[in-house]
Amino acid sequence: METKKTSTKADRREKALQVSRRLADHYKETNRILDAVLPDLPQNSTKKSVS
Amino acid sequence: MPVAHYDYDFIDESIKSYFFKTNAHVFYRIEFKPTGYIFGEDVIWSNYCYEFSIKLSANSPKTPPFDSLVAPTIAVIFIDFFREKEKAILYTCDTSDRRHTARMNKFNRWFEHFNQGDFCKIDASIADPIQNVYYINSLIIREDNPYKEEITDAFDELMGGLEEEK
Repeated sequence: METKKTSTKADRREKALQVSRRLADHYKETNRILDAVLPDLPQNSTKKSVS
Repeated sequence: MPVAHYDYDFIDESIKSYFFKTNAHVFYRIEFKPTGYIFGEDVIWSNYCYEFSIKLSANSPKTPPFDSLVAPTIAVIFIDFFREKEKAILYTCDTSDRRHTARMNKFNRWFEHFNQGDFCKIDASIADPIQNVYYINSLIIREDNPYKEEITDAFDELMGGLEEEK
């Protein structure tokens, strides 16, 4: 029983890592562009409506 | 109060694509692509889960100049994309260059700046001992998404319990 529990957690971790690696690869270029275009807003900036 | 932003075009296909051009003639394309592979195709809400990407046209500079209208335009596009309240986005902050904390803070402040309480963002991090990095994954979803509980539960099930210290 204990072995099964460990295996399940290992499987979940592997799936999470696979998804994370794929997403990280996908977002590399987008992150680079966001670094350049997002403003340096103060922590408690006043919210604005975009509606 | 409306915020100034660039006008954009939209193509509604399986990949939702938005386009806009800045005053400096930088062409942006923002795509939202379904991510059925993450949660599987056997749940109806899986079809509403997307990843996004921001791309520049080939003749645009590799690193675009800062333009104060670009961030509000991206925010307006996000809000337009989320008009269908069932949609959800999975986002990952790049941690490969070790600037992830500043990057995540910047993204979070931008997200909160434009969020009027309609959206929530759930973060989960996981260490990758092989790549020697840790990933910060986020789920962005409307508060009134009818599948909010199912999607957040599935996100927690996928990433939860594996979180690492940031």
